Amino acid sequence: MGHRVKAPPAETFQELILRLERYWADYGCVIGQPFDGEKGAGTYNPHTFLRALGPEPWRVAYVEPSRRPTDGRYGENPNRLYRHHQYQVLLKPSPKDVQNLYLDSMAAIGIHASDHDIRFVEDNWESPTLGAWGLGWEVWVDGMELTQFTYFQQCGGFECRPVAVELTYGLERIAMYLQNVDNVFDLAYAPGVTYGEVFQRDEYEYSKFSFELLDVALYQRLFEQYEGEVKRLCEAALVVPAYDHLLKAAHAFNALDARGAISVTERQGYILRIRDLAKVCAENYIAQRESLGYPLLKSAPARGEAR
Amino acid sequence: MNDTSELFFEVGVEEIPAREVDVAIRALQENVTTRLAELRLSHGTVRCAATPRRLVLVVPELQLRQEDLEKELAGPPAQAAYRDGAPTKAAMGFAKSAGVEVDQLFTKDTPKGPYVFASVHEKGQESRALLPELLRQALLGIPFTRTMRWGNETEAFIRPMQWMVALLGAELLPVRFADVEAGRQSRGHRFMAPEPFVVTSAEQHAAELEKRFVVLDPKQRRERILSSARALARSVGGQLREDDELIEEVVQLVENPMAWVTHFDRKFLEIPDQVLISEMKNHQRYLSVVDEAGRLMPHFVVVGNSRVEDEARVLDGYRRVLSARFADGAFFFQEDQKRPLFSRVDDLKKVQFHRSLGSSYAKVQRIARLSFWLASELGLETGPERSSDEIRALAEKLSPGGAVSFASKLARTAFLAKADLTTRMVFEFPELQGVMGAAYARQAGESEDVVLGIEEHYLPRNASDRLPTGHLGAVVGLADRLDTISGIFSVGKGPTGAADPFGLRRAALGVINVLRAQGWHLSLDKAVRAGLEGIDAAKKRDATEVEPEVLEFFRARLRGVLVSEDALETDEAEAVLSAGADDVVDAGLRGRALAELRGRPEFEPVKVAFKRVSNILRNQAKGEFDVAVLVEPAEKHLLLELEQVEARVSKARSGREFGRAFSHIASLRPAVDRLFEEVMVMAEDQKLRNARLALLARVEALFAPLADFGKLS
Repeated sequence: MGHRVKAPPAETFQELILRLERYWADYGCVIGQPFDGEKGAGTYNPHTFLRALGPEPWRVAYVEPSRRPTDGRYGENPNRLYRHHQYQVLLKPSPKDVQNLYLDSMAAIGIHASDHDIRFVEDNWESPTLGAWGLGWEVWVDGMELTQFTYFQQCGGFECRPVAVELTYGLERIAMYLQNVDNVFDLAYAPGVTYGEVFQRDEYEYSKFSFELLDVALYQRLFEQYEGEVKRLCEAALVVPAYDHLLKAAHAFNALDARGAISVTERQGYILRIRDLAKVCAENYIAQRESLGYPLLKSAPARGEAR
Repeated sequence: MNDTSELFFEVGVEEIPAREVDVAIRALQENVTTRLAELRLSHGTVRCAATPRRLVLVVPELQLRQEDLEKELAGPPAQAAYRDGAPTKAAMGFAKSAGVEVDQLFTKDTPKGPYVFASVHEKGQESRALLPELLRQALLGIPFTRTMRWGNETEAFIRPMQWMVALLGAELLPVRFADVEAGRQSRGHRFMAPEPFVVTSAEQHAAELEKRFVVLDPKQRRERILSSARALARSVGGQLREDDELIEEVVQLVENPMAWVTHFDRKFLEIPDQVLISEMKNHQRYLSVVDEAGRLMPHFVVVGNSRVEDEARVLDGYRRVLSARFADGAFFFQEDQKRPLFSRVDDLKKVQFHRSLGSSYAKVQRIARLSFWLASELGLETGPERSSDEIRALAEKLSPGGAVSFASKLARTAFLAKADLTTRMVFEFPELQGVMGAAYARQAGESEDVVLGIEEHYLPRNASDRLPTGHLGAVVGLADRLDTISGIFSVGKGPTGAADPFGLRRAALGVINVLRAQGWHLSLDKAVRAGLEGIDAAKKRDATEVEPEVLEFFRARLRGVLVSEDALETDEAEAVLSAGADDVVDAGLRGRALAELRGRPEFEPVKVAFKRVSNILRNQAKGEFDVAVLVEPAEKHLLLELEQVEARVSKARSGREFGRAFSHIASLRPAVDRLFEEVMVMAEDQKLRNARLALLARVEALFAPLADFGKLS
């Protein structure tokens, strides 16, 4: 990278996304799209959760709008959002040079290792609801955590073989860093349009809704019904629709949690119920891919399996 | 066969978690040293060093070949090996397994009778053939907390391995781990010198690393960080707040430490120092700067890993991150203060302490009751026994700031001790529990004693932490720990092996250290019983079963404290505890007195004499004592002396002057020796024998409550 002309910092939020899309497309990733329903993080997208399972190779990159109802601040806090955006990359099996690939991607958006203090600081990731965990780092740029870097070890309660590596870029944080802006709503989203102009009203409405107006009884009922639906659809061997309903159930749980409708004791119960659903979906997905003969293995046999 | 070469081994790894680096250094050094000894390979001192990106092991002067080994292997008993002079199947099987002909076997007498042996000549192997597996096993033997796999690999390590260099002299050793095969190429600093270089020896490697911006030795990195951080702190008119734990971590986060000092907005100093320090430490690994009085200054030192072209820009980044964090902290601090601390007590009903032990509120109730029991036991508070509801009523009657009795303040401290668990600040920074409680209590106008008690009941947090200075924190802290220990043991979740998820060892040590610091003579027996009495709901095990376990648990910790803090030898600690472990303060005093006595030249004969007394009394029923029966001058003399010494020892003991008690006991030694010389204790005449045994039993009774001399080696 030293020989090329240094890429200047991406000047807008959308430019940042476009550069990451270009970089990972050039690397050979499928450029995916956000999942069309509510979820808390890019990991929940089936591109990651389901595809991390089983022996088939997979490379994907996509933007994921991610909702964290408890982080809603009515659009008044400069750093916290009900809905933020992640750029998610999943590479399976994890390439040997993935740290350098990542650093090159940072250079592509204008963050060059020669100009910054870049550090890989231990971070052990665990998602109790997804029955997933992995080891890796938070990547710090001048003390700011800009990316999570995780080697998946388990997903849906199943060992990941081969291991997938997940890169999760916090897009707003990176953009704030690149644009030298202290308030997320002041970011340039596109030339002449700020992030606030695009999203600030949404933040207010979503916060108002989830803290004050959300119908607790309705969401409790929805949780139960979605839960039943996951099981029913799994029995019908319809993994993807079943998984859709898991995501709806998980979002109902997050929404209830933000509304303060879940006690400490109940909380663990909900988490275990979602985890059970994740396990059923994972189990069914693995079986389905096997019965299909692992179509993605044909183009690139997994080395570990052959040995 | 004295040829030697240097073994050089480097493992390049993607960034190793900071606290695991030391683990790896120690284990690698130990594993390799042990294994080389087992393989009979001589060598110079094994050296190990590491950064977050590499582990390096050097063994100078490693023997290139094992010596041949002659050894005798034991086979079956001769009786089974030959029948009528002919070798049996057993003999033939043994010969085959030992790799010799049957007629080469020979018979030798052993303590177990005659056995068949084979003499085996084992040819020494080349070190280079043995080392690859040895190095692999040494890596696999590092006790990392959690390892991981990568790519298609099935072997796990702390993080993906990137390269290995394994050289014996100039020879490349074929070491393989997961997808990495050892070669000759190493690398410098990740960013400042990424290109590979060829390693030829440990010395050359060290010199190359120096040029390539890697400080391999953690001690050197530490010194470099400390000296520049101290100088930077002075440059802004302050001094470095030296937090060892943080500095250790920072040492293992960098290969090439670069320190800078910068500042934050003074307005954040309104937030309690501890909050700011926690933010800087736990989230950013920044070192704080304090003034002469120890108050936080609006500056901090950051230790980076790379030299950069534009330092100002990087520093601006560090500051911005911190500002955002502090702004969040300030928000939580304000939010929390919107409610008085006492109003949070009932919120604890919604916080679970442990599935089988109820909510944190239930725990607070138990703490309150136990605190009052302890206070009364310790002579601090002698009011009537109270239920937890009565104690709460007492706490509530006490309005903030009012002048009040110890009992009211104790009640208030006990109920407020855990109230900060529901604050947003403690939710964000669990390590600030107690500290935030105290800050919010002060802000709510609680009395300073109560404020101090809330903060101090968590002390000591670890072995090197400070201890409570006030009685309130000491008592409530004891109650809290006794309750946790009793409760967790009762539900069958006591520590096993290295696993101690509820920190019970630390809790027991806390109890012991608080008692010692306060000089409180508390009966652990009674205290544990009182603790167990409070645990009723959903307990899984019976108190009679748990109690001895908990007492043994305390005793083991106390033994450790006597050895580490009072510098007793293990056998001295054992001698003291055998005589009684119920009162930890007492045990410490007796231990120190015993150690002091042991240091004196007259100790050995004293020990011998009194051990003899104990030995002769062992398994003897103690008879009746009739003075008139004693006939010999030696025994009459001992009786006379004994009567005087008994009085003195009893006086010394009641004043807890154990050194003096030991001296008095020692003064009896000539009389005891004379008795053994002149008198046959086990006389034929039963009456006489009983009288003599009873006399000796009185001697034993002098020292038995102080120390068991039989445990001294």
